[in-house]
Amino acid sequence: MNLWLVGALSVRQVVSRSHSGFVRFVGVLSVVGIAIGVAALIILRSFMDGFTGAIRHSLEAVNPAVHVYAPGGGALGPSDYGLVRELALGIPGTTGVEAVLERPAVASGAVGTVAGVMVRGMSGSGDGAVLGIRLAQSLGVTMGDTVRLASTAGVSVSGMGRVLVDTIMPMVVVRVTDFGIDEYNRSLVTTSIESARSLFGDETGISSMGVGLTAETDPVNASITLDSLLRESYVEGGWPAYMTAIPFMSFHTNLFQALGLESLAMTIVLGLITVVALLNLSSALTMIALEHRWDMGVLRAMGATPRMVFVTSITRGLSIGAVGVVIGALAAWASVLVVNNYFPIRLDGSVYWVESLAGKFSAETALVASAITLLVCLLVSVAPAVSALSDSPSEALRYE
Amino acid sequence: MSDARPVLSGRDIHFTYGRGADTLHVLKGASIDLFPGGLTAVMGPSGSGKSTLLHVLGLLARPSSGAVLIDGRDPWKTSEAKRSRMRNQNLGFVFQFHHLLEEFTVHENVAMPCMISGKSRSQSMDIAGGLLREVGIESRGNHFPSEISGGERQRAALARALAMEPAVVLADEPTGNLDDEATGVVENLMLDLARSRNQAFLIATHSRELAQRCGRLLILDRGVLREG
Repeated sequence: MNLWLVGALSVRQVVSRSHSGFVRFVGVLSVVGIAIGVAALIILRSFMDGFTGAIRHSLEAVNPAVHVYAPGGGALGPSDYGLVRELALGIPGTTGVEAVLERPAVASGAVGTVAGVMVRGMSGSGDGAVLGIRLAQSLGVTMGDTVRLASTAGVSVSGMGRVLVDTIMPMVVVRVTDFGIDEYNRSLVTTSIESARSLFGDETGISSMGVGLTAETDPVNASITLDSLLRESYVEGGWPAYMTAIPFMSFHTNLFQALGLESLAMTIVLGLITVVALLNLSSALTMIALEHRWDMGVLRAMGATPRMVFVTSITRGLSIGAVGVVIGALAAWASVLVVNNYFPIRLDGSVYWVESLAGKFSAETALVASAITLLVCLLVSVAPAVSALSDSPSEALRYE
Repeated sequence: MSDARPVLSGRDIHFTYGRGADTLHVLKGASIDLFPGGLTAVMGPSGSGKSTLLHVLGLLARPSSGAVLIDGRDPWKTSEAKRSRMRNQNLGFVFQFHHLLEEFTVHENVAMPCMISGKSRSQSMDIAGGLLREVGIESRGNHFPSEISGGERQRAALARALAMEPAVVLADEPTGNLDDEATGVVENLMLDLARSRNQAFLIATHSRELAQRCGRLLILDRGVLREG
């Protein structure tokens, strides 16, 4: 089969100027339908991926990639830290290991306002407090001011009804920052682990350990490796297993599964709408086939095989689909670009965790959406192609 | 009649349209032999079945009964793909309304049977170029069919029919849609080419003048084919 001829027949008959106005209209409608469907699918996925990515990025910016902790709530100590550090640093991609002491506390600011906070002391952090921007606003403090932190573990109520606190610790605000997630901006205070230990009256306390990884390292694989190394060391040392390593994202499995499910559901719904738009392609192909019935009769008279007629008809559908897919993918890319640069989407951080939404155009997503659409185009083209085959050449030549 | 073996034969061909009371018996036992270099004209009134006879002999329609033989072989006893190949290799068609594909240039139209046969585009275009020279419209090769005259279109259609050097050319009222001047040009061309290429031509026509210039005349009257 001469592929040039098949391609030229398909494409030229689709764009033929000899088509009636109605066939041209239906053809254009098919291209527009496919383009809108593909664009909608890619835009949806881009913004869903962008949203998920923004939340993930914000979470990862504040939290180490892999957490090591005692699932039963058992206390961890310096020797545990030493063991984890030794094992983790042997894993390629590890950037460091931090001991973390994280507990709830109460903070009060300059104007007497009080807020419940989570104090996170980390071995890699300096002294002084780093506050989320919303927390700093609600406490009425800024960089250089002092906040007073009180451990909730030592809080009791006197017989007179007064609230008694064991330890009140003043701490200088060394930085007010945007943690990227509203919940953290409203309640997180980070400081050195020594300051946290002083606040909570626990000289060696470690609630968990955080393992930092390079951006290229997969946290899931790294956590699996570290977990198995921990287990091996327990076996060698004859100790019961009590520490486990998990990727940080596991703390938010429900969130990401829900986001994934939502994205999937919306993709399916939009995909079905696109399929309905693609059915219009079948009508367009049938009309084009009718207008070129004579031509097919002539081709058969010249010796074109039924296979060639079939492939030509299918290629016709695919060429219409390809034009729609290319336009749709380009429109999606342009839309994401324009929205990101000129019409940024603002979100309520208290509801969505992140305060802005940027689309993340992925070539992989565009390719998958395009490939699936072209596959459906191919399936939709089969019926008109079979119909074209059912004509005898003689009937086709007599058709007017 | 030549002693040579016929390149195309029809044996007791019957062809009917419809069924039951609506049956239309178009061909009633038509038999014909076409020999290399032979020019045969078929005359008959409109609706006498000339086009149907050409379609049946050209393997475009299956006879209701009887047989068509190409080089002694019955194409209807083989697959559709092989029959298509036989059509491509052995038969050329010229239609009344040229039937050139509007989306292709004249040159590409003429090259089409070669491309269908599997030849490369450049090889096919070379062959077509030679034929366009032969029929005298080389300068119109890059035009689209809508850009040339009726006579030129029919010359292009003739060149297309000859592209695969078929043993038989079936022409269905090839000059029926042309003015007198173009008719003369196309007729002369057709007869010259038939003789020079030793191909069998079967021409369905209403033109007594053209029929008389052919070596043999057949009359198709109400489905019955007889010598004229």
